[in-house]
Amino acid sequence: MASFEADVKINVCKVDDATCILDIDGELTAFAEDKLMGAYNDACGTPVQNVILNFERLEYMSSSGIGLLVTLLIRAQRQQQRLLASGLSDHYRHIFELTRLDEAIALYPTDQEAVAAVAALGSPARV
Amino acid sequence: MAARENGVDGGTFVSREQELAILQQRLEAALSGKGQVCFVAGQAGSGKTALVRHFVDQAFARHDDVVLAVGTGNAQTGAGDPFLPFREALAMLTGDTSGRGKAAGDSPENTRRLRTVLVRSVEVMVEVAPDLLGVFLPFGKLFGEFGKAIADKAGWLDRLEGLAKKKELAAAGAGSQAALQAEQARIFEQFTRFVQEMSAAAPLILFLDDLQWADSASINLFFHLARHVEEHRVLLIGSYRANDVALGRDGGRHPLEPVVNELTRYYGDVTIDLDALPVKANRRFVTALLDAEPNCLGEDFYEALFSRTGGHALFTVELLRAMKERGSLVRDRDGCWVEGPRLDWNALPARVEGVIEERIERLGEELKELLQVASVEGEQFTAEVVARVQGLPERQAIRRFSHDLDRQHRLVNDHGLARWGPVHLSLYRFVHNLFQHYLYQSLSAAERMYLHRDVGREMEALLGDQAEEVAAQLARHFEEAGVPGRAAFYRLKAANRARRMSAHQEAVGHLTHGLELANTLPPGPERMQLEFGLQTALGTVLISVHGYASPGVDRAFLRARELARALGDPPEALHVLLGQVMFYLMRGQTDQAWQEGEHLLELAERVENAEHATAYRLTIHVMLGVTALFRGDYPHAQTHLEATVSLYDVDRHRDLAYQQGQDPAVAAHAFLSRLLWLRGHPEQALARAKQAVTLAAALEHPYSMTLASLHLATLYSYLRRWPECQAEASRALRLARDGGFKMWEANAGILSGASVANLGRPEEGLDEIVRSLFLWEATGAGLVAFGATNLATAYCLLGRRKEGLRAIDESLYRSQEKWWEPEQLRVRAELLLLGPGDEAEAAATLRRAHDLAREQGATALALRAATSLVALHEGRGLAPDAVDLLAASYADFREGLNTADLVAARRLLETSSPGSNPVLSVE
Repeated sequence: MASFEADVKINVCKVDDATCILDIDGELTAFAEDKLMGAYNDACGTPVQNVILNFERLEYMSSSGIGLLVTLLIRAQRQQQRLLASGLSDHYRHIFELTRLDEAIALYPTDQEAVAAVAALGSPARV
Repeated sequence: MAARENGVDGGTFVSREQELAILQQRLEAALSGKGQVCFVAGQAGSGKTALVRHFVDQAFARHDDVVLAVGTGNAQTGAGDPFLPFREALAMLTGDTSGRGKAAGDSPENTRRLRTVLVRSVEVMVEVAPDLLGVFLPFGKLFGEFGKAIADKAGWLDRLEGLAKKKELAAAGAGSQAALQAEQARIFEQFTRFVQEMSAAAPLILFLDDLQWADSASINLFFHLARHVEEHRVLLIGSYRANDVALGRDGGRHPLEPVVNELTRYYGDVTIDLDALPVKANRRFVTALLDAEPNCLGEDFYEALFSRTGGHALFTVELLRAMKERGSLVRDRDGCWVEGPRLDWNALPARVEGVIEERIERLGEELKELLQVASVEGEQFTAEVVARVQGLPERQAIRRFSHDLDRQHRLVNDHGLARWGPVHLSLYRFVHNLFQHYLYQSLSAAERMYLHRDVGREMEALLGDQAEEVAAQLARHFEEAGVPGRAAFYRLKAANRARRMSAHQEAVGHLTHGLELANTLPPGPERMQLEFGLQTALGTVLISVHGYASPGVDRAFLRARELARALGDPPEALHVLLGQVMFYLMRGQTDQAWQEGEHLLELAERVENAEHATAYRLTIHVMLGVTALFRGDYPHAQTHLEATVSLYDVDRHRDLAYQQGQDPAVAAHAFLSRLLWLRGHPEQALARAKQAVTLAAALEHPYSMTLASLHLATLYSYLRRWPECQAEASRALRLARDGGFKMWEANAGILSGASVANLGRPEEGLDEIVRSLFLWEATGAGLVAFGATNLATAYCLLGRRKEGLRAIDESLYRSQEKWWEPEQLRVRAELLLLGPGDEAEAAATLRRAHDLAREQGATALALRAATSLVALHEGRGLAPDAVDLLAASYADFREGLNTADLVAARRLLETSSPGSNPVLSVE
C-alpha cells in the first residue's frame, strides 16, 4: 500500500522574535503537511509576525503543495502574520504568478532580501 | 485673440491653441475609426475642465454628429462611490438628464444630439450590456421620460423592465457567493461593448473629469476601455490633478499612476500637462485673457499680472475679476479697461486662495452661510438639504442658489433635478472645487461637526427608502459628525451597493472601515448586531475577491458565527452558516460541513415567514445532499437532493438563483446526476444532467448554467464519451470565464484535459490538467479526488508510473472525500501494474476498491474495480473469484448496457466464461 512518507525536511531559523524562516528542503507535496504545519506550530507562534518560506532547496512541488501553502496562508492570517517566500526557481515563480498566489505571498529572490523587506515593512496590518 | 464662452467660471476662454490642436488631432483620428485616449493633467485651477469644454464646443461646431458623455470624480466620497464617473456618463448616454455636468461641458446642443441616438442606446443596452441595467444604472434613472417614451413606442419597454427586475433581484441576492462572482470583468466587457456599439451610431467623446478622486474600479475600467477603443470612433479623455496623484492614496501608489504610465507605454505621450507649459505659453494666456476685452493697459501691467499669477488660469481670471470689482481696473470713456486710481499691487492677494477669500467675503452673511452649509454637503449639493439645515423655505433657497449665487455671483452652477426613485432634489455644483474647499475650511471644527450631523439627518429624512443610494455620503457625514454607529451602518449599506456593481475592492474598503467604526461603540447588542452584519458581508465579498482560500473569509465567518451565537442565533445567522458550510465544503472539510449543515436545518425551522423558510430549506438540502455525496453517504445524499427537487416550484422559485447565487433545483439535478451514475443508473443520470442544463438555460442564470454544463461534461467523462465531454467542457470553460467563476474555470480545464488525454493526446491533456489543478488548489478548493484521479490517469496513459502513483497517493492521503476512493484505488492499481512485481498489491487494492464501492452502494465503481480485477486475473491468475464479482456487479445494472464500462465488462465476462454466465444468458 502507499507509504505516504514525506520526502522533505523543514528547518526552522529564527531571525528574531518577530520573524522566522522555514527552509524547505526536498518535495512539497500533500505528504509534507504534518512536517510543514508542525514546523510552523513549533516556531511561529506568538509573537512571530513574519513567516518566510525559503524554497532555495525545493526539489519539487505538486498542486497539492500549492494547496498546502494556501492552508498555511489561512492559518498565518488567522494569527495576523505575514507570509513571504524566497528562493523560488523560475518555474515555481511562474506557477505562483499563474495562480496569483504572488498577490498574497510576497516573493523575494533570497531569504536575506525577504528579511530586509520585513524590516522595512514593519508590523503587518491588523484588521 | 478672440474671446470664447466658458472660462473657469463660465466666463472667458482664451489661448491654449497648441493644446486644443492636440485634442483636435486626436478627435480627427478617432473620427476615422482609430480610437484615441488622452489625459489632461494640471494643478487645481489650471484650466483642465475649461480646456476640454472649449475643445468640445469647437468639435461640435465642426462636426454635426459628435456626441459627448461626461462623468466626474467626487472629492468627498472619492474611492467609496464605485464607478461614479462612468455611471454619470452612462446615464447621459441613456437619456437621463438629471444632475448633468454643465461645468464639464454638457450643453443643450449635446442633449439634442444625444436624443438622436437614444433609440440605438436602448437597443445596444439590451443587446450587449444587460448586466449594467438595474445595478450599474438603476431602472429609475434609465432613459429618462423621453427615452422611456421612445422605448415604449419601439416595443422595448417590457423587455427593459423585465431585465431590470432580474438584475435588481440579483442585486438583492448580492450576499451569496455566486452572485458576487459576477466579476468586474463582465461589467468592463459590457461597458466597453456598449461604448463600441454606440460609437458606430455617433462618434463619441467620453470625458472623465477629476480622476484623482475616482475609485480604483473606475480607473481600471478607464484602462480597459482605453485598450479596446482602438478601432472605434471614440475619443477617451481623462483629466486629473497631477500633484494629487503624485501624493498617492492610502499610503500607497495612486491607482491612476500606473494606468497613465501603461497607456503612455502603449500609445506614446498621451498627456497634456498644463503644469508643464513653457513660460511663454502661460504668458500668452495672460495676454490673450487681457486682450479678450478692449483695453489701454501698458506692457508693465501685462508683465505685473503675469508675474503675480504665473499664468495660473483660475488665479488670473479671479484676480482680474477682483481688480475690476475693487476699482483697480476701470473703463475709460471709450469702454476700454485702464488702470484705476486705486490700483495697488501690494494690496492684491498673492495666491489664488486669497482671491477666493475676497470673493466669498464680499457676499452677504446669508449667502455665505448658505454656501458654507452647501460646502459641508460637498462640491455637489442639493438646495433642499441646505434649506432644511438652515430652516429656510425650499423655494427661497433655490432662488438664492439659482439667481444670486449662480447668475449674479457665478459661484455655483445649476445642475437640474436629481432623481432618487420618487424623490427629486435640486442639484448644484460649485464652479470650482477650490471654492468649496475654502468655504469648508472657513468653518470651525465644532461648526463642521454639527453641520455634518444636520446634513446627514436631513438627507436621511428627504431620501427615506432611497438613502442607500447616497450611503457613502451619509457614512461620511455621520463619521465627521462623531456618530460612529450611524456611520458604520451606512458603510454597510455603501458596501452592499458597491457589491451590486461588482466593485468588490470598494466594498471591502467600506466594510473594513465600518468595522473600525463599530469597534469604537460601547459593547452591547447594537454593536454586536452591526458587527455581525459587517462581518457577514465581508466574508461573502472576500470570496469573490480572493476565492475560498481567503484567510479573511475564514476569519470573518468565524467572528460572525461567534456574534450570531451571542445574539441567540437570529434567522439572519442562516446566511453566515450557509457561507461557512460552503467554505468547509469547498475546502474539502466535509465532516465539518456536515455537522454545521445539520444545524442549519434546525435554524431554518425557526424562520417564521413560510416563503423564506422554504427558500432556505431548498438551499440547505442541496448543501447537505452535496456534502453527503462527497462523504460517500449516498442514502442521505439522495434524500436531501430529492427534497430540494420536490420542494422546488419553477414559477415560485425561479428568482432564487438571483437571490442565493445558484438555482437550488439546477444544483440538485446536477448532483443527482452524479449520484445516479454512481448507483448504477447511467441513463437516468444523463437525463438528469441534461435536465439541469435545460432548467439553467431557461433561467438564463450564468452561474447555474456553468454548474449544469460542468456536470454534463462530468457525466460524459464517467461514461467515457470523450468527444462529447470535450465539447461540453469547452462550453463550461467559456461560461466560467465569462462569469469570472475561477473555481469552475479550473474544473472545466481538468475535464477538458482529461478528454484530450483520452482522445489520443495524453501529453497535451496532461499539461492542461496540471495547469488547471494548480489553479484549482490556489482558489483554496479542497475537493481534489476527481481532479487528482484524472491527473494520475493521464500519467498512466503515458506510462509514467512513479508520477502517477505520487499524484494518486497524495489525493488519498489528504482527502476527506470518500465518494471517489474506490476509483482512486482502482487507478492506483492500474499504475502499479505498469511496473513489474506489484501484481499482488494491485490485486489487493482492486479488491479493496470493489469492496468499498459495494459497501457505499457505488455500483458503477464496483463494476470498474471488478472489471480491472478480471483483467488482472486473465493475464496472471491472481484473483480466481474475480469473474464472480464482476458478474454480480454487472447483474446490478438494469440500464445503460451499451455504455463503455458495461460493454467492457460484458466482453470480459464472455471471454472468461463463454456461454456459462447466467447474467449474460438472461440478456
